[in-house]
Amino acid sequence: MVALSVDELWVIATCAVCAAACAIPGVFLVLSRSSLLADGISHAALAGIGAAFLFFQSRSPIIMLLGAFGAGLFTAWASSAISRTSVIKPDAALGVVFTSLFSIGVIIITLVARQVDLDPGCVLYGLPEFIPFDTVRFASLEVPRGFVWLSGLFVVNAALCWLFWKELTLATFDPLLAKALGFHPGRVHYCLLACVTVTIVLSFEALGSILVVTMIVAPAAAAYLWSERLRSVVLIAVILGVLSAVTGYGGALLLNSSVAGTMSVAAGLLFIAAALLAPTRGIVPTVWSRKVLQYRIVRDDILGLIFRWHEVDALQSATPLTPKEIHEAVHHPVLARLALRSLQQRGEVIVSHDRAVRLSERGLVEARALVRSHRLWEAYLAKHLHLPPDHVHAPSERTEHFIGRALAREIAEDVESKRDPHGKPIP
Amino acid sequence: MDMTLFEHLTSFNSLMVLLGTALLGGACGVVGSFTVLRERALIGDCVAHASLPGICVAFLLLHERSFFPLFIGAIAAGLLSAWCISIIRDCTHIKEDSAIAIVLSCFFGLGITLSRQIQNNPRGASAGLDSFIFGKAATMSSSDVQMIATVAAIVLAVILLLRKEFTLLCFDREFASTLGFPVRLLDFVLMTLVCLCAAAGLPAVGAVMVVALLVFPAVTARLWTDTLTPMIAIAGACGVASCVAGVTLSAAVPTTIAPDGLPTGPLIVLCATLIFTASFIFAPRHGLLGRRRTVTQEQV
Repeated sequence: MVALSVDELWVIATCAVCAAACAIPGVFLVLSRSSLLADGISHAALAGIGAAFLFFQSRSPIIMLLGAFGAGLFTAWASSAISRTSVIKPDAALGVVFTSLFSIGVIIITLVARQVDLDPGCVLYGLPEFIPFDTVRFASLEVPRGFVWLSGLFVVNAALCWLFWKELTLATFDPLLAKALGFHPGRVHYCLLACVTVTIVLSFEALGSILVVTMIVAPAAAAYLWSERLRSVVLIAVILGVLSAVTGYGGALLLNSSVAGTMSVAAGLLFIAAALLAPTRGIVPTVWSRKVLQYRIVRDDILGLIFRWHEVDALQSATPLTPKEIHEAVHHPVLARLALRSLQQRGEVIVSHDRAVRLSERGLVEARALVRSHRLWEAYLAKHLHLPPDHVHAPSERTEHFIGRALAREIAEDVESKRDPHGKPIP
Repeated sequence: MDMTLFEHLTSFNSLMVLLGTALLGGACGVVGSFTVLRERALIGDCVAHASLPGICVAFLLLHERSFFPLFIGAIAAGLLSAWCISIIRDCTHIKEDSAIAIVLSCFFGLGITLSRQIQNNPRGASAGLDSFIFGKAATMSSSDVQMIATVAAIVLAVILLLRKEFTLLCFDREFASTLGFPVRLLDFVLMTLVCLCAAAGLPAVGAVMVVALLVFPAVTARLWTDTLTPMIAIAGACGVASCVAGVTLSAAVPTTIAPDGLPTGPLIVLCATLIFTASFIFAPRHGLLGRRRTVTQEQV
């Protein structure tokens, strides 16, 4: 266990509060499909900071914040105005606006570099390590100024989210309904962007202008993978933000590297974990459930195949199928092997010593139900959709796996036929 | 400093900078036309930022600052980032904009982590983070210009060869795929071209300015024409023009205003912005004035 000094604890606390504050507006930004605005706003803020200094010749943080605020909102407004009024697509419009504002910012800062100790490096990469050196006194406690600002930001963001929950939800998910109900989704969106801008600017010191984008977007997107309820998405995003701040700090200690950088990498890793493992929408569970379904279908297909092979006289046939023939017929060599073995273990299929595959009594019941579903569906399609006989096999091949006994009985009552369109008996 | 502006511009060093940035601007304009039409304008943003970890890894592996390995590292990381975006977009329900934002900033974060480690490591020299973001066009050497010229030649050759395929890809990807064109491969080739331009432009004008060069000329050209070939030509010319104007401006700024001179990259973008703004107002059919005229004519 590494003993952490008070200063280091303050850095962790500040980063955690900052990440939590970023995550809240991030959720709504991700859901309204404007995540890249965060990137644009954070670059454009540089121009606002520079312009504010040029106009007011003051280094007060409030003035700079106001400048950045103006530049952020201008980015959002200008890019949507350009794409609305011309042939230029929204993404290109945003690219045009934020790169020009960023370069104007760089030019202004180079011009006034002698008069102001604004460090572009600090704005770009963030230096959370220096947060504990600038403190304010609360009673007998020295509290870092950055921590005070960022925890204030977190409280304000959380309060806004709680107060305007209904408006935000409605404007994010259904702008048209919001408009019809008189909620002004455009105004709500701009208020959200204002909140994002303030969050970005206040986070510059801790995270820097590019990594703040990670902390706004990545926890929110990861939370959106873990859950589908908006309330829990916000909560999970905050938790993931705090988690990436803490693990990021650990990583920075371990690698002797930049805290802001490792925080962003930690947030990225948490996003990858969510994309892979999230229960309903993660890549691994989706692929797994698809494979399981495929495996069950292959098992059904094998039963159906043996049944049809022996249909002439149910259990005794002159040349029984071999496992090799079955593997070839099913097209999925690995799945077919697994499925055949599992059928053997469940006692539905018997493989004798001379490699002949036969159905057991239990297997025969299963297979008969399956082929019955198939032929009933064929008959149903022929009767109600008037499909010619050569068109009914393929859809039935897919549907047969999903027809239960009750549905099969209903279809049987409906088609009232003992034979399918090809003339084969319905078992 | 008694040199006139003309003498200053025709000195060998300035000619190199002028030539290098002009070639870069032209190449970026041509490639940018296709990415803008493909509605992937901001993928350049991602690729340019994502090159940083690639550069750092190449540096950590080889412990030298020669241009070529860093160039390869930048391209590899850029391609990896584009691949990550397509994986996130296709395999989860996260939308493309969030995917770009996450990949961009996380790759950049990884790059900052690595580069800070290189700086903290007593053996390694500083990898020059600032010049990565802002670029140092003034220090462009003739080998840099050779590199940019090679990249520009490759880009032009590939675009000339695959013009039909890229056109189809940008305007109707589904149709291209039903005709049997390998659309995934074509997308990959287009991404590789973007990565080439970004990696060649990073040392010269920096990450954000590369994005601007990929977007501005193409968007400006789009305002002037509705046909592809003229658009590519205008975009290329526009890229060259912004770069030449920016470099000239950077040389023309008197030292009384900016003692250390103004950075070339941002000035190039400023010139591109001016050209764009003028086009946005005055372009015949899609400009503000031109469109107003058509609207009034229709009303009449």
